[in-house]
Amino acid sequence: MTEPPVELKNRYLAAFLAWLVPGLGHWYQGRKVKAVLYGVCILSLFFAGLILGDWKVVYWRWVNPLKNSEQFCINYPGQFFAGLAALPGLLQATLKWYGFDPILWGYLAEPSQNDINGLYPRLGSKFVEMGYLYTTIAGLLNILAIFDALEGPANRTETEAPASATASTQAVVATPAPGAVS
Amino acid sequence: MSPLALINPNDVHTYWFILPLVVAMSCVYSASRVEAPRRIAWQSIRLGGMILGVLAVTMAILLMINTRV
Repeated sequence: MTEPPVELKNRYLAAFLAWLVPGLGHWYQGRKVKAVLYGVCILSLFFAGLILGDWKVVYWRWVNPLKNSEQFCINYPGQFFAGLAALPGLLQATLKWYGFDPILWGYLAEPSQNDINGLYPRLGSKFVEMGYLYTTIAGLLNILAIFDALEGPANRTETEAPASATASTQAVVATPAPGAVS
Repeated sequence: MSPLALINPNDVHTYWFILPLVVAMSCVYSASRVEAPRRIAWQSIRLGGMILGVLAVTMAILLMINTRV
């Protein structure tokens, strides 16, 4: 099957948009089917994880991971790549560091220690662990989507021209159909 | 009220949680490899099937080992 040509446009902008909202970078590039696919898969997995964890499994703390490994939020570096949906966690932690109150109705603000301790007895370890897993995996999957926006599909054939490094629009040549004269 | 309040966690078998992960991973990985929507669909179905198959075989082997120890 011949692959359709991929027009990457400004690929750095596309990659940034793909991080910001999963699928947005691909929508900008005109790859609408992929945009919807990435957006639906990644965001639904992320928000399913948030709901499973009662909106308390995505947050960040400004602690030294070497000196205070128990308090370090090891999942957030993965969740961060979900983009705008996870970014308030970083924002809320920074506001707390400087002594301000949470904003955005406490969305992704660090829960109190009582709330964290009460998650497992209240929801069951199954839901909480799946909440952490779903949100982290969603962020990590968006890394694939970001690379796809930056470089195009990984299995591009050798006859296709590489993506342009400049901001100018450049169409990637599709693989000619078998028997076609190139 | 959280929708989770309507569900008893003990009523949800753990293995059901694997399905959304496998579907999302298969679709996103396949979409990152190829461009044509039909190829994405076929590759994601194949990959999802492979992942579930490997999980099932691994579980079968582990169960066999468990009953013989």
